[in-house]
Amino acid sequence: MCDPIVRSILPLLPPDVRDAAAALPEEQQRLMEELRLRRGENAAAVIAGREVPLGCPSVRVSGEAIEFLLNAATGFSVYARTESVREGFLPLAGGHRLGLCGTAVVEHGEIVTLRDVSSVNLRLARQFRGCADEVSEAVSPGESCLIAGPPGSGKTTMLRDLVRQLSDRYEFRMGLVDSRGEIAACSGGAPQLNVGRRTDVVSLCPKEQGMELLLRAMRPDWIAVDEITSPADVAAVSRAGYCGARMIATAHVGTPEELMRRPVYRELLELGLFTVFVGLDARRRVKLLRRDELC
Amino acid sequence: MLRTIGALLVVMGAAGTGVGLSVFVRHSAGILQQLIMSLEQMKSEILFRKTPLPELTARLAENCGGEVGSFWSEVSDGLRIGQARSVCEVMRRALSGRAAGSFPAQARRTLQNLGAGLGNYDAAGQVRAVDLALSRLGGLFTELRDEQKSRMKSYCTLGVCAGLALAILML
Repeated sequence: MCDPIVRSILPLLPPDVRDAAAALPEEQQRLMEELRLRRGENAAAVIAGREVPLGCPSVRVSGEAIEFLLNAATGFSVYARTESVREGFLPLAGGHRLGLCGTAVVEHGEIVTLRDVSSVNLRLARQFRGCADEVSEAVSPGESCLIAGPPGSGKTTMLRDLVRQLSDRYEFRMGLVDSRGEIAACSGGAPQLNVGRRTDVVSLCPKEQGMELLLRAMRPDWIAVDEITSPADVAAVSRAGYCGARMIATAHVGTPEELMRRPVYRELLELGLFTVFVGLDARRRVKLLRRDELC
Repeated sequence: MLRTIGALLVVMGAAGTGVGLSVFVRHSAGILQQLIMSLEQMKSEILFRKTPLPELTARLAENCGGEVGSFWSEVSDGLRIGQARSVCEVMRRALSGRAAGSFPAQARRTLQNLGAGLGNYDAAGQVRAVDLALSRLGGLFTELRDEQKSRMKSYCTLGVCAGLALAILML
């Protein structure tokens, strides 16, 4: 038996890594979060937060193995995915994501592409239905919610389930800007992951333009967007948030308290748009805070 | 009587061989023309739509049909299955699976070189590889077309003449 999520990524993997991943006990497959391949090192899997070597004996990762994975992930067509490669990741079918590290090719001060990819991180998208039960009950109509936590704490998973619940359980019209294609993982126009019956998805679109498109075209009650990281994102969220729709967004921080320490998020909080804060820690514990508790 | 029938058969056989050779030349020109058209489409798809290769080659297969369509269809399948290490390997397999006379030898070499260039570079690099293949196939096609009429006539005439000569010798 093979976990369906792991099974879905097996065709992308180089043969020796594929065999090692398929040979893992099913329990470990179910807990697998990432696969990490670094050129010249042993392949590793992140299982329940711990990085462990893959295979017995361990599988050494060659340059050809990384090339195989890139070819399989892009259908031998890196040229068709240069926008993503420039950002350092490739969205994959099923909502999985391939993070890339290598030598950056820079032109006019901006990364044009990556060459000589040295390591990759295959993050598996898993849907945990019900993980946003508590949060969905805490968010009232007319309130905006910010989900904050460190990388790997489950912000995107929480966002996906919150959107699904507000759409299906509470029957709100949801707009989702899936700028990296990993929340809904649309393929051929249909979401591969459940984001709710009343959710309209704009895929692989810059956040600002996606939010404007949704406001103009779909009149959503809430707009959900992943990873607010730059002043431009804050400006876009504030514009959309004061146009009738409420916002659900995620932010990279160590703790919710750090929101006030980072200028970009402090600016966002000072706008007063977000009233509910969800703090996630590395062990995926949820902490609900109101605006006055945070400030 | 038997001698006459034998002579007639020799004439017909030799003439048939000549006609066969001329048909082969025509067939080669047709294949080259189809390959050129498919590469033109490939270039547009890469340049303007950035269509990934598995989808692109499937479209070429649909649009071309015949021998060229079947070649692109095999390439598309090979790329989709995803067990190959490079486009070059997939194209080599698809070419080696074809009958010896189906693609002209030079066209085979050109396609093999194109395979080595596809999938490795950015869009501009892909387009350069396609352009190179197009110029080679274009040159080959022009050469073949210029020679086509004279060669076809020569093959037919040679066949008939050789047959007649044999017949006269036999009679």
